[in-house]
Amino acid sequence: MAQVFTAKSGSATFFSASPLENIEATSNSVQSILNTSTKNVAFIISIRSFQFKKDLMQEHFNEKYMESDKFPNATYSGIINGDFDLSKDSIYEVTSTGKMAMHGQEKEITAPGTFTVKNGEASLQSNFPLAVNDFKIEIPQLLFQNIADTVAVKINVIYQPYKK
Amino acid sequence: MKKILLAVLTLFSTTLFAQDDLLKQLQSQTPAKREPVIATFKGFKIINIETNETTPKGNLDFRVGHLFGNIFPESGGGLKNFYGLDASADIRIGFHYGITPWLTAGIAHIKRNQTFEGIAKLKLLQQKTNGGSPLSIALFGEVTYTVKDPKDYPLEGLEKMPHRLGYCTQLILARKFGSRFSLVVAPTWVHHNIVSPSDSNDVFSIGGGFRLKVTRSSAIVADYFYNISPTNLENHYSPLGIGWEIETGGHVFTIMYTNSIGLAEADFIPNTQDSWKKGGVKLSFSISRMFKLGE
Repeated sequence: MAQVFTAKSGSATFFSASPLENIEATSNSVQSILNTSTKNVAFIISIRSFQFKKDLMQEHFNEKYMESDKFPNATYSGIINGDFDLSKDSIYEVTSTGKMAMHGQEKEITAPGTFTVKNGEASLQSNFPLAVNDFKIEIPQLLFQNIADTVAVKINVIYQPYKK
Repeated sequence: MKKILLAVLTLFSTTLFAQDDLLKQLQSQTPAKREPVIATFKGFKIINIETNETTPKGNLDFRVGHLFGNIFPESGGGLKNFYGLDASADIRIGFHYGITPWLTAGIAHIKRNQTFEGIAKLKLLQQKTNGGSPLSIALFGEVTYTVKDPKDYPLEGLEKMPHRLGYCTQLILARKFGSRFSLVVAPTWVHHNIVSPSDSNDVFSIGGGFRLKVTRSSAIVADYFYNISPTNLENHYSPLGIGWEIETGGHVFTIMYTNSIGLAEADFIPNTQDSWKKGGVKLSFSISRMFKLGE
């Protein structure tokens, strides 16, 4: 049984409600690697891969807030707490604690996750809030009035046994 | 021996991975992608020069340009017209629409010479990161059509429709250096079907401009046109503009000083007769508001 699993083209969405307009973006190039014996897990997402409905919002997100030319990726590396077995069809509720890095800042977070193993295919979903201030992402009041300080993040990846 | 080595390596790679090593492995599998360089400039124009930027697909850019009169008394300004603020040298109201990410078309009305203007800009090459194209290249075209009454301008031959037309073609070469500084150079050809007998129908000019980002949302901008084949116009001066550009949400606001005489390329490139040195400098501003049409 494989102990290392990888995921390509996973999805990540973030959402923030504000009275003026909701801010929402999706990336479909989330990559992940998971070692089931050490329970280590890592994620990498290209900031430029986030697609917004408004082109200008996407430009501002990259240029002004995430500075994606300097900090092209968001990464997470952590350990999974809780038991799961990707070889057995079931649903496993777990949590993960680790380091989230983006915009040149690093922060320890704990997030819940759900492994769903169905017909031998293993996927992982995770929903968690992220405080933008933790990563020194400044959102001026002038631009987005009353924007929430936290955004809701959703991650969804499908793991395949790792082949070299 | 090989087998033992392999076994040890496998052991390391599968069971003894520290979590950071797992991340490093992931990063090494994710090569840096070539991404288009964004925000070389914050809109269609700097001051007088076109940029490589087009209007995003499905977006409508509503643009208002205003050029006040000369500020200083030696060029007709002074207190009597409140340093040019009471005199508007030119006003342009235009709509630019992004047909595709590569092609923008627009129409405008321009006060000077009672002109209607049609423009198009085509992106030919996009600067990219990580070993992609070092330059962005675009092509800009402008047609102007004056609706002046021939009776009021008997010398201009306006009875014939082609005499009312003017054209400008620009090849735009732009590059963003780092995250704050962008440069543009634009070889330009202006053609008029009819000009005064002593003037030339074709004018070749080279324009250059830059944007230097100072804060997150504002920048110093400047541009200049040098006519390689001079017009025979008496007292022609090269248009020089310098300004401060502020971006807020979907707006770009630029406030600037320039000696250019009008807002249409086919007009100010050959026809600028005001000089900075002689006080022929004007206050000007432009506002761009981007609307996303549909989904």
